[in-house]
Amino acid sequence: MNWKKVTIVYRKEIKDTLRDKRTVMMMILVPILLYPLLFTTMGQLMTTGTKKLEAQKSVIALNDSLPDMLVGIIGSEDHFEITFQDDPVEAIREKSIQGYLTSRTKEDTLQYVVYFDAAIDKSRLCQERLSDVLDIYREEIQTERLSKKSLDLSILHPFEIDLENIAPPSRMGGMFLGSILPMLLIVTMVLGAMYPAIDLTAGEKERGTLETILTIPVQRLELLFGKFLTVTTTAFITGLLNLASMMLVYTSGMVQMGEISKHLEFGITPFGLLCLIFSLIPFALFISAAIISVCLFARSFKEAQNFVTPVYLLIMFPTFIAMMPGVELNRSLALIPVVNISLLFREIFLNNYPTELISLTFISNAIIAVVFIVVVVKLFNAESILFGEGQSVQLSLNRSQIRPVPRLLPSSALLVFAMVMLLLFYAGSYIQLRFGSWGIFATEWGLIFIPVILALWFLKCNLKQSLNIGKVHALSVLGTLFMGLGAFGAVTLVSRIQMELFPEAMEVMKSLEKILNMSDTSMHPAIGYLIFAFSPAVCEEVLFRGVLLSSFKKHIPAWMAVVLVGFLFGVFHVYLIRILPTALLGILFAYIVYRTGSIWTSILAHFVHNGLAFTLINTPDLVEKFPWLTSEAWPTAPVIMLMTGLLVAGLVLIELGCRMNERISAGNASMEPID
Amino acid sequence: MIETQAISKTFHDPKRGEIHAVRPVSIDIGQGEIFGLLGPNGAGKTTLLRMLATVLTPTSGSATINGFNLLGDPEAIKKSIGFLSGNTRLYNRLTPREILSYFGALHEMPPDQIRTRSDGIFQMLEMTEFADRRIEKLSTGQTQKTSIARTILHDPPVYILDEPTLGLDILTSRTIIRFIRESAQSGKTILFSTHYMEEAEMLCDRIGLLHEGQILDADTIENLRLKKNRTHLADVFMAYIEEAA
Ligand SMILES: Nc1ncnc2c1ncn2[C@@H]1O[C@H](COP(=O)(O)OP(=O)(O)O)[C@@H](O)[C@H]1O
Ligand SMILES: [Mg+2]
Repeated sequence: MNWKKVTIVYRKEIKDTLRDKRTVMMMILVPILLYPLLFTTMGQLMTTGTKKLEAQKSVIALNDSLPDMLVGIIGSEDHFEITFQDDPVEAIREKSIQGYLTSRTKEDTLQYVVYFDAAIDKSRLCQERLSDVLDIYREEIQTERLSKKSLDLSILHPFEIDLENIAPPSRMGGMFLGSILPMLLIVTMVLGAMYPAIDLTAGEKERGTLETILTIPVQRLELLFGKFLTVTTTAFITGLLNLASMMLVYTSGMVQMGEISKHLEFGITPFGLLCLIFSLIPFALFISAAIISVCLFARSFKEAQNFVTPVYLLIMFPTFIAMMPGVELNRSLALIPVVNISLLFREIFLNNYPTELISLTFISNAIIAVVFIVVVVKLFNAESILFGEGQSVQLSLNRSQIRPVPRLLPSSALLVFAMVMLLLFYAGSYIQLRFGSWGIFATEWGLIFIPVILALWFLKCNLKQSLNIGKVHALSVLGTLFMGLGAFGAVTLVSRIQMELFPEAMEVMKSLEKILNMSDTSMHPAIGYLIFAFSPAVCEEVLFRGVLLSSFKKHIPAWMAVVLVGFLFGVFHVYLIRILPTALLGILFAYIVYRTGSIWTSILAHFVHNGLAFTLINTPDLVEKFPWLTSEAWPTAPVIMLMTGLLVAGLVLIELGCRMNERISAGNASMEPID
Repeated sequence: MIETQAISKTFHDPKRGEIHAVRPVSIDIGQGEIFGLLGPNGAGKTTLLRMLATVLTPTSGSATINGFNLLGDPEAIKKSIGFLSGNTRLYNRLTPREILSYFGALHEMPPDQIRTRSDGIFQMLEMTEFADRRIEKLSTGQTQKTSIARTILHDPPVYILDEPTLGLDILTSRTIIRFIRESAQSGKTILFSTHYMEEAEMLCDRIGLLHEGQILDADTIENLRLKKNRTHLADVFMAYIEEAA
């Protein structure tokens, strides 16, 4: 590779990119507008929120039995409005008043009782106010009684309590900035890289300038490196401008930040800033490589945009992990792209500079970026990608314009996947939190199955072909059963290895088990199997081994399609620690569907696998006897052998079944289309 | 100057299966010759020329251009040719001058040489007036002139032109045709494709008749006419196709 040519390409691409209005807008306008808006709205929200409450009067009811003196004190405070209620407790519930004060005698002591509803902010405030009043009243009585005995009130106050919050303002600011700002920085950088990446790859293909440059003496590697560095530069500059705007808006006091300025004081040091800028570089390298590599598959600008959406989501998810409290940057997390950067940003915003972790993050990102680029060069040499016959995305909002197709194009299939991920992320997590187990049922059917089927209907796909619906030989079914059991073992083993490497994983597993564990609910086991085994087996298989697999296998080599489907299945499980085991599972499932041509196999295997997991979690005795079943301990050698045996036997039986089927159809000289 | 040895290309299309776009083709073009590749749409013209321009890798066979082997030394081939087609577009946001200096730099020409050569070309093709305007602001004719400018910038001995007049108005087509003639007179070897009979008739020393990826015959127009005993080139072509079928 000739670096001089890379520089020539780079200089030209930078010039070209900077002349593109859309890129420049993304790069400059977004940071200029975003942060002032963000800080202002947040400030206002927080200020008005507390002010409003403080300013409001508390409407209360008082019992007739209260002494005049107490009523007098209450009356002198101007934040009470006294009303009369027949049933004051009910009135609080109905929110027509916020509090009710009464008195009673219990075991010869006088008690004042404050009724309030802790779930209502206004009622809680009313309770605090009434308690304050009662404090005053008590002090007055105490003073009166003591003075009768010629004593001073101070006799009851040997000391006072003063609370000093020692969290320095910059740490609190860091917490806020550390969780939201890294995410914004990452999002804007990705957006900043996206447009030029598409423009320089798919855009160039579409406009026909690629063919020109390929007849000029410059190697594809040089060309690609020039482009890659250009996209990296725009991502980096976007990050830098965002950072600058963030700081400027914050420190200049340009915007009215109201209440939040009390809670945060931006205390980043020049060294911290330097670290931050330094760590933008590896991230810029990583996202550019990731985005360019998918854009190369696209034949047009529009198609590239569709391809990039899932990548964008993939990059977004890990930033949420970094937003979770308690997750801290350590050596193993420093190796995971995106997660490492988000966590590193947070550390720096909190004024920590773990130099070792910073360099580790830098190195890991750089290595991944280079690996990506090498892969990308291989792709860039593939003629089918450079000069494939035009193929556009089947996307039109007018259904009558859509032509019926046997199955989705990969770009559309990925779009369906991205849509499901979005639905799950925004609606699914809420529904599951709110409704627990039945929420899982609802999300499986309502957010995966139904949307996927609707998408297939809308895009006029052949259901049978899109979902890989086909006949299976009985032997293959038996093999699938074996394989499902063996796969369970394999996944347990992989989880175990992961736990050994990343002990933090245990925590996640535990919390997952809690979701699955029904011992504290009164659910019928059959319903448990319906929710945790049957529903995922059908709904998830329809998406992954149906829509995605049927689409991919027609466009990329079969092994790649199988691996990709497995990988997406892993990603679908969001929790980092589950990605590898579930991806493995996904690959196995995808393989059997690919081989048998029938989705029934993977539905069965998925059901067996989940059903087994569900049974175990609800059978503590069994788990106690065999702790390896839930990856708590290493399985013994015979167990590993048994599992491997089951897996292999399963695969062999499936293969046999397929051969039998092939022989039968060859014998029948079947007229079915071999599509 | 250009010599192909049973060069062929097969595409694997997910929908249509195997496509033999170019079946083994062997042609030999001498220096200073204008060779026309005549064939209907889909005959394989673009595929053949793209292979010679190192953009596509041949499925089998090879070629030699300017003494360099297509597979062995693609860089030398790229330096020896100027390739122009309807698909080779220019960067919209750059000016003709910037485009020439970019391509010149990639051809490893020294900056002064790029400058003097560009000015010379601008003068010759009457481009001075718009040399510093962005491509997106130029007319089709002006853009086409810029394309010619970048094709001849590094003064290669061979021009490969794929349907250079496709979709152009008469005036712009004239510019191209004149350019082809003048280049041949100054000793350049020109291989160009077209599906316009008249164009081939008017320009070429020899014509290769390409049909479904196969060269049916390659000869001077006179000889082709004599062989099939027809006056119109279109009839001659039809006679060859019927014979092949
Ligand atoms: N990248 C490609 N993938 C698949 N088929 C192609 C590709 N490029 C060209 N073809 C096919 O090869 C044949 C020849 O095309 P082409 O060389 O463009 O012909 P021409 O330039 O003479 O019109 C056509 O059938 C075309 O569809
Ligand atoms: Mg063509």
